[in-house]
Amino acid sequence: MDWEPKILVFCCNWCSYAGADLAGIARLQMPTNFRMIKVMCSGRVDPEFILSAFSKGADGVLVSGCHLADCHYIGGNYRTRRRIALLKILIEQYGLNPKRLRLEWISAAEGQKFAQVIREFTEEIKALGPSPFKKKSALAVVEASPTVAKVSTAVAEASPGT
Amino acid sequence: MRTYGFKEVYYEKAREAGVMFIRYEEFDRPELIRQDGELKVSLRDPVLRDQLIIDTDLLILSVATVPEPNNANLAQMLKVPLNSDKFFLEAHVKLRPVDFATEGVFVAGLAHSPKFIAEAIAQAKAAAGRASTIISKKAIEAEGIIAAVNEDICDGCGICKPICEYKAIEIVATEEDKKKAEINEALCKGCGACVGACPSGAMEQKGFKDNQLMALIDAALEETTALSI
Repeated sequence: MDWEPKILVFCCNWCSYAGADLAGIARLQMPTNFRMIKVMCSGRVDPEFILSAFSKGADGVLVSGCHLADCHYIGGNYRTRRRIALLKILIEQYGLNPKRLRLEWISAAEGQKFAQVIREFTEEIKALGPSPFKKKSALAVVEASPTVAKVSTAVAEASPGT
Repeated sequence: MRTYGFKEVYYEKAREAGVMFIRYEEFDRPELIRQDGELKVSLRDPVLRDQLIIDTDLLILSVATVPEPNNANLAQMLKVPLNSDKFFLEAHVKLRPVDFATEGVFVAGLAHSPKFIAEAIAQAKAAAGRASTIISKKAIEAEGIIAAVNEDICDGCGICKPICEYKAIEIVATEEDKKKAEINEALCKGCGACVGACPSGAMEQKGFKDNQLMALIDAALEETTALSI
């Protein structure tokens, strides 16, 4: 099976989520590699979430909020901007390409931009290849959780042909 | 000549009464001059392309409306924004024209922009109407998804306090001579910025708790290959 990237998108409730909704309503074409998590404000995105997503095998993480000075909560996105800038440095030290973390400002009216960003980012992540954490984390999950290991052996036993 | 609002009527009346209106270019403004011991106005008429010198009986200048110089201080005190001209800026030009993003603060009149008295009155009525929607209630229903502090974990480090745009967080002393963050539940809007910033994990946002969002992340990144065999 060809490798398909897994991209996690954090969207703020007021701008980017509505922008994504608009992209959907307008039936804009975009890759289906992303999963979206809604938060009230991009400022809610704890750095821990992003690091956790990467450690669990996300190939890319996109954080999207309202345009600067347009935040529904006055200035949450300024905090986000600072955090993401620092996180990019941090993930590089962990051996990840900082391009795997992306910050975008997408307003509720910018369905086109949302689709464009998703297309671009997916292409970029595809070019970068699978996250170096991917295989390791998948193994770690199997080792750490006996139920998963049991299920996979059970599946392997049940279908000797594969 | 284009006039503001429905003031075209007055322009017409002025023209009928014989008032002359003369244009000038912004870079070529009229000048006051003294000629033969009399005060005169000298200006270049861009239509005639000639210099005009007008005799005066009385010279009346239109006074500019400037913002109150103290606006910046007041804006900072009330946590409300000013526009680039230093007048107060409403939350939304069309949807919330007399409100600020800060709850319970409203704007009307010259604080907002230069305007006529009738407009100031209309705006003041609107602001009073908006204010009465709050003071007519016996109790205010707060947002459900606000932040909450786990007091057992909170060290009172105060990182969350400057993060809050609504000044909803105070660092207070506890009985055991310790400090902790306290949330004013009526002021909190539930953005979660303080939760994202809290280094000890003491701050939580109801409905968007860390473990709830982590569960979402786990589900989104789940390896589904084992099940799809």
